[in-house]
Amino acid sequence: METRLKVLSVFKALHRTRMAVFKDDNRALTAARLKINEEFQKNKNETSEENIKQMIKMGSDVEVVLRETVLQMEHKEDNTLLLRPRESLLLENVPYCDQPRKKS
Amino acid sequence: MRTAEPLTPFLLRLARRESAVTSLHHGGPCPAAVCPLARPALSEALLRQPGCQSRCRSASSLSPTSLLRCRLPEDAVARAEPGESRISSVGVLCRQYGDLPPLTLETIKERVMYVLKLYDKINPEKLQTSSHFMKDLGLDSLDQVEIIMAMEDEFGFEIPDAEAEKLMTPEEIVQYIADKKDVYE
Repeated sequence: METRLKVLSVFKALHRTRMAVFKDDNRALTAARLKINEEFQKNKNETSEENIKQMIKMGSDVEVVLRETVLQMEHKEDNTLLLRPRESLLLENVPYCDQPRKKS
Repeated sequence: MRTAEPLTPFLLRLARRESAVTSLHHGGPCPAAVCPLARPALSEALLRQPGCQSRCRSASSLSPTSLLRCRLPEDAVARAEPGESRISSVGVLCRQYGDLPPLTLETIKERVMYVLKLYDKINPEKLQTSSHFMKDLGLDSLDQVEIIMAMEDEFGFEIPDAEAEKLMTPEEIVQYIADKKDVYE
Protein backbone atom coordinates (compact mmCIF):
# COMPACT_ATOMS: atom_id res chain seq x y z
CA MET A 1 0.00 0.00 0.00
CA GLU A 2 2.89 2.27 0.81
CA THR A 3 4.38 1.81 -2.67
CA ARG A 4 1.03 2.43 -4.25
CA LEU A 5 0.80 5.84 -2.62
CA LYS A 6 4.33 6.62 -3.70
CA VAL A 7 3.61 5.71 -7.30
CA LEU A 8 0.50 7.85 -7.31
CA SER A 9 2.33 10.81 -5.82
CA VAL A 10 5.08 10.56 -8.45
CA PHE A 11 2.35 10.45 -11.06
CA LYS A 12 0.76 13.51 -9.60
CA ALA A 13 4.07 15.37 -9.31
CA LEU A 14 4.84 14.61 -12.94
CA HIS A 15 1.53 16.03 -14.04
CA ARG A 16 1.91 19.10 -11.87
CA THR A 17 5.37 19.73 -13.32
CA ARG A 18 4.09 19.16 -16.82
CA MET A 19 1.44 21.82 -16.25
CA ALA A 20 4.03 24.31 -15.03
CA VAL A 21 6.70 23.56 -17.62
CA PHE A 22 4.51 23.49 -20.71
CA LYS A 23 2.14 26.18 -19.56
CA ASP A 24 0.01 27.71 -22.34
CA ASP A 25 1.37 25.21 -24.84
CA ASN A 26 -1.53 22.93 -25.56
CA ARG A 27 0.25 20.66 -27.96
CA ALA A 28 3.09 19.92 -25.59
CA LEU A 29 0.69 19.63 -22.68
CA THR A 30 -1.37 16.96 -24.37
CA ALA A 31 1.63 15.10 -25.71
CA ALA A 32 3.30 15.04 -22.30
CA ARG A 33 0.11 13.98 -20.63
CA LEU A 34 -0.38 11.09 -23.00
CA LYS A 35 3.23 10.05 -22.60
CA ILE A 36 3.12 10.10 -18.81
CA ASN A 37 -0.11 8.14 -18.76
CA GLU A 38 1.20 5.68 -21.30
CA GLU A 39 4.36 4.98 -19.33
CA PHE A 40 2.45 4.39 -16.14
CA GLN A 41 -0.18 2.35 -17.90
CA LYS A 42 2.48 0.17 -19.54
CA ASN A 43 3.85 -1.02 -16.23
CA LYS A 44 0.69 -1.25 -14.26
CA ASN A 45 0.99 -4.98 -13.80
CA GLU A 46 4.50 -4.85 -12.45
CA THR A 47 4.72 -6.76 -9.19
CA SER A 48 8.39 -6.93 -8.35
CA GLU A 49 9.13 -4.58 -5.50
CA GLU A 50 12.62 -3.96 -6.83
CA ASN A 51 11.47 -2.92 -10.28
CA ILE A 52 8.78 -0.68 -8.91
CA LYS A 53 11.32 1.07 -6.76
CA GLN A 54 13.52 1.67 -9.77
CA MET A 55 10.63 3.02 -11.75
CA ILE A 56 9.64 5.37 -8.95
CA LYS A 57 13.21 6.63 -8.97
CA MET A 58 13.08 7.02 -12.72
CA GLY A 59 9.79 8.90 -12.53
CA SER A 60 10.96 11.34 -9.92
CA ASP A 61 14.21 11.89 -11.81
CA VAL A 62 12.27 12.70 -14.94
CA GLU A 63 10.25 15.13 -12.91
CA VAL A 64 13.40 16.87 -11.68
CA VAL A 65 14.87 17.03 -15.17
CA LEU A 66 11.69 18.51 -16.54
CA ARG A 67 11.48 21.02 -13.77
CA GLU A 68 15.09 22.13 -13.72
CA THR A 69 16.32 21.92 -17.28
CA VAL A 70 13.46 22.49 -19.67
CA LEU A 71 13.23 26.08 -20.73
CA GLN A 72 10.19 27.36 -22.49
CA MET A 73 10.46 29.80 -25.37
CA GLU A 74 7.80 31.35 -27.46
CA HIS A 75 8.02 32.41 -31.09
CA LYS A 76 7.13 36.05 -31.28
CA GLU A 77 8.17 37.13 -34.73
CA ASP A 78 10.36 35.71 -37.44
CA ASN A 79 13.58 36.04 -35.55
CA THR A 80 12.38 36.76 -32.06
CA LEU A 81 11.98 34.31 -29.25
CA LEU A 82 10.43 35.15 -25.93
CA LEU A 83 12.05 33.39 -23.04
CA ARG A 84 9.65 32.23 -20.36
CA PRO A 85 11.73 31.41 -17.32
CA ARG A 86 10.48 29.83 -14.14
CA GLU A 87 11.79 30.10 -10.65
CA SER A 88 12.97 26.51 -10.61
CA LEU A 89 15.34 27.25 -13.48
CA LEU A 90 17.33 29.83 -11.60
CA LEU A 91 20.94 28.89 -11.02
CA GLU A 92 22.98 29.81 -8.05
CA ASN A 93 25.32 32.58 -9.14
CA VAL A 94 27.64 32.29 -6.20
CA PRO A 95 31.11 30.75 -6.67
CA TYR A 96 31.35 29.38 -3.18
CA CYS A 97 29.08 29.34 -0.21
CA ASP A 98 29.68 27.54 3.01
CA GLN A 99 26.13 26.89 3.96
CA PRO A 100 23.49 25.36 1.79
CA ARG A 101 21.38 28.25 0.59
CA LYS A 102 18.22 26.35 0.00
CA LYS A 103 16.72 23.84 2.30
CA SER A 104 16.32 20.64 0.44
CA MET B 1 -17.57 59.31 29.01
CA ARG B 2 -18.18 62.43 27.02
CA THR B 3 -14.57 63.49 26.80
CA ALA B 4 -14.02 63.37 23.11
CA GLU B 5 -11.25 61.02 22.12
CA PRO B 6 -8.87 62.29 19.46
CA LEU B 7 -10.54 61.38 16.24
CA THR B 8 -10.02 61.97 12.62
CA PRO B 9 -12.63 64.15 10.97
CA PHE B 10 -13.82 61.09 9.13
CA LEU B 11 -14.63 59.19 12.28
CA LEU B 12 -16.39 62.23 13.67
CA ARG B 13 -18.52 62.38 10.62
CA LEU B 14 -19.44 58.79 11.01
CA ALA B 15 -20.28 59.29 14.62
CA ARG B 16 -22.51 62.22 13.85
CA ARG B 17 -24.23 60.32 11.15
CA GLU B 18 -24.87 57.35 13.36
CA SER B 19 -26.30 59.43 16.16
CA ALA B 20 -28.49 61.28 13.71
CA VAL B 21 -29.85 57.96 12.62
CA THR B 22 -30.77 56.90 16.11
CA SER B 23 -32.39 60.19 16.95
CA LEU B 24 -34.73 59.52 14.08
CA HIS B 25 -35.57 56.11 15.42
CA HIS B 26 -36.51 56.66 18.99
CA GLY B 27 -36.93 53.48 20.88
CA GLY B 28 -34.82 51.63 18.39
CA PRO B 29 -31.60 49.94 19.42
CA CYS B 30 -28.88 52.27 20.56
CA PRO B 31 -25.65 51.96 18.61
CA ALA B 32 -23.53 51.23 21.59
CA ALA B 33 -20.17 51.64 19.98
CA VAL B 34 -20.95 55.13 18.83
CA CYS B 35 -22.18 56.74 22.02
CA PRO B 36 -18.82 57.87 23.40
CA LEU B 37 -18.09 59.63 20.17
CA ALA B 38 -21.31 61.54 19.82
CA ARG B 39 -21.38 65.27 20.37
CA PRO B 40 -22.81 66.38 23.71
CA ALA B 41 -26.13 67.63 22.39
CA LEU B 42 -26.81 64.46 20.53
CA SER B 43 -25.67 62.10 23.19
CA GLU B 44 -27.97 63.93 25.58
CA ALA B 45 -30.81 62.82 23.39
CA LEU B 46 -29.46 59.33 23.33
CA LEU B 47 -29.13 59.15 27.06
CA ARG B 48 -32.79 59.91 27.50
CA GLN B 49 -33.61 56.67 25.83
CA PRO B 50 -34.37 54.10 28.48
CA GLY B 51 -31.84 51.34 28.68
CA CYS B 52 -29.29 53.21 26.67
CA GLN B 53 -27.22 54.54 29.50
CA SER B 54 -25.84 51.30 30.74
CA ARG B 55 -24.93 50.24 27.29
CA CYS B 56 -23.24 53.53 26.59
CA ARG B 57 -21.14 53.22 29.66
CA SER B 58 -19.93 49.81 28.72
CA ALA B 59 -19.25 51.09 25.27
CA SER B 60 -17.04 53.93 26.45
CA SER B 61 -14.20 51.50 26.82
CA LEU B 62 -14.33 50.67 23.17
CA SER B 63 -11.61 52.02 20.95
CA PRO B 64 -12.39 54.21 17.96
CA THR B 65 -11.52 51.39 15.63
CA SER B 66 -14.43 49.37 16.89
CA LEU B 67 -16.56 52.01 15.28
CA LEU B 68 -15.23 50.97 11.94
CA ARG B 69 -16.46 47.48 12.40
CA CYS B 70 -20.05 48.29 13.21
CA ARG B 71 -22.33 48.35 10.30
CA LEU B 72 -24.79 51.11 9.49
CA PRO B 73 -28.15 50.15 8.14
CA GLU B 74 -27.85 51.55 4.67
CA ASP B 75 -31.42 52.67 4.13
CA ALA B 76 -31.47 54.40 7.51
CA VAL B 77 -28.45 56.41 6.50
CA ALA B 78 -30.10 57.34 3.26
CA ARG B 79 -33.12 58.56 5.12
CA ALA B 80 -31.08 60.43 7.66
CA GLU B 81 -29.34 62.65 5.16
CA PRO B 82 -30.94 62.61 1.80
CA GLY B 83 -29.17 65.68 0.49
CA GLU B 84 -25.57 65.03 1.37
CA SER B 85 -23.48 63.05 -1.02
CA ARG B 86 -22.68 60.04 1.05
CA ILE B 87 -19.63 57.91 0.88
CA SER B 88 -20.87 54.43 0.37
CA SER B 89 -21.18 53.49 4.00
CA VAL B 90 -21.30 49.79 3.33
CA GLY B 91 -18.18 49.90 1.25
CA VAL B 92 -16.31 51.75 3.95
CA LEU B 93 -17.50 49.83 6.93
CA CYS B 94 -17.25 46.27 5.76
CA ARG B 95 -14.63 44.94 3.47
CA GLN B 96 -15.68 43.72 0.10
CA TYR B 97 -13.40 41.71 -2.07
CA GLY B 98 -13.73 40.89 -5.69
CA ASP B 99 -14.49 37.27 -5.16
CA LEU B 100 -16.41 34.47 -6.76
CA PRO B 101 -20.02 34.11 -5.71
CA PRO B 102 -20.27 32.21 -2.44
CA LEU B 103 -20.12 28.46 -2.73
CA THR B 104 -23.18 26.42 -2.02
CA LEU B 105 -23.60 22.67 -2.14
CA GLU B 106 -25.48 23.16 -5.38
CA THR B 107 -22.78 25.19 -7.11
CA ILE B 108 -20.03 22.87 -5.89
CA LYS B 109 -21.93 19.94 -7.32
CA GLU B 110 -22.41 21.73 -10.62
CA ARG B 111 -18.75 22.56 -10.93
CA VAL B 112 -17.63 19.07 -9.96
CA MET B 113 -19.92 17.52 -12.53
CA TYR B 114 -18.78 20.01 -15.15
CA VAL B 115 -15.13 19.15 -14.58
CA LEU B 116 -15.93 15.45 -14.72
CA LYS B 117 -17.81 15.81 -17.97
CA LEU B 118 -14.80 17.47 -19.54
CA TYR B 119 -12.55 14.58 -18.58
CA ASP B 120 -11.99 12.59 -21.72
CA LYS B 121 -12.22 9.12 -20.25
CA ILE B 122 -15.62 9.62 -18.71
CA ASN B 123 -18.71 9.08 -20.75
CA PRO B 124 -20.93 12.03 -19.81
CA GLU B 125 -24.07 10.00 -20.35
CA LYS B 126 -23.09 7.39 -17.83
CA LEU B 127 -22.01 9.93 -15.26
CA GLN B 128 -24.13 10.22 -12.14
CA THR B 129 -23.48 11.83 -8.79
CA SER B 130 -23.35 8.43 -7.16
CA SER B 131 -21.33 6.57 -9.77
CA HIS B 132 -18.13 4.99 -8.54
CA PHE B 133 -15.11 5.97 -10.64
CA MET B 134 -13.67 2.49 -10.77
CA LYS B 135 -16.68 0.20 -10.52
CA ASP B 136 -19.19 2.16 -12.59
CA LEU B 137 -17.05 4.29 -14.88
CA GLY B 138 -14.21 1.85 -15.42
CA LEU B 139 -11.40 4.22 -14.50
CA ASP B 140 -8.20 3.25 -12.74
CA SER B 141 -6.34 4.85 -9.88
CA LEU B 142 -4.24 6.98 -12.23
CA ASP B 143 -7.36 8.47 -13.78
CA GLN B 144 -8.69 9.10 -10.33
CA VAL B 145 -5.51 11.02 -9.46
CA GLU B 146 -5.97 13.09 -12.59
CA ILE B 147 -9.56 13.82 -11.63
CA ILE B 148 -8.51 14.93 -8.18
CA MET B 149 -5.90 17.20 -9.75
CA ALA B 150 -8.55 18.73 -11.95
CA MET B 151 -10.64 19.36 -8.82
CA GLU B 152 -7.68 20.99 -7.13
CA ASP B 153 -7.27 23.30 -10.09
CA GLU B 154 -10.96 24.05 -10.24
CA PHE B 155 -11.38 24.89 -6.58
CA GLY B 156 -7.93 26.25 -5.96
CA PHE B 157 -6.73 24.23 -3.01
CA GLU B 158 -4.69 21.13 -2.53
CA ILE B 159 -6.12 17.78 -1.55
CA PRO B 160 -3.64 15.61 0.34
CA ASP B 161 -2.92 12.23 -1.24
CA ALA B 162 -4.18 10.22 1.69
CA GLU B 163 -7.57 11.87 1.51
CA ALA B 164 -7.68 12.09 -2.26
CA GLU B 165 -7.43 8.33 -2.37
CA LYS B 166 -10.75 7.91 -0.64
CA LEU B 167 -12.71 10.19 -2.94
CA MET B 168 -14.27 7.74 -5.32
CA THR B 169 -17.60 9.24 -6.32
CA PRO B 170 -18.65 12.75 -7.35
CA GLU B 171 -20.80 12.86 -4.22
CA GLU B 172 -17.81 12.26 -1.98
CA ILE B 173 -15.82 14.95 -3.77
CA VAL B 174 -18.64 17.46 -3.30
CA GLN B 175 -18.91 16.54 0.37
CA TYR B 176 -15.16 16.83 0.88
CA ILE B 177 -14.94 20.23 -0.80
CA ALA B 178 -17.94 21.49 1.15
CA ASP B 179 -16.28 20.39 4.39
CA LYS B 180 -13.02 22.07 3.49
CA LYS B 181 -14.67 25.30 2.40
CA ASP B 182 -17.07 25.44 5.34
CA VAL B 183 -20.18 25.15 3.24
CA TYR B 184 -23.26 23.76 4.90
CA GLU B 185 -26.89 23.48 3.95
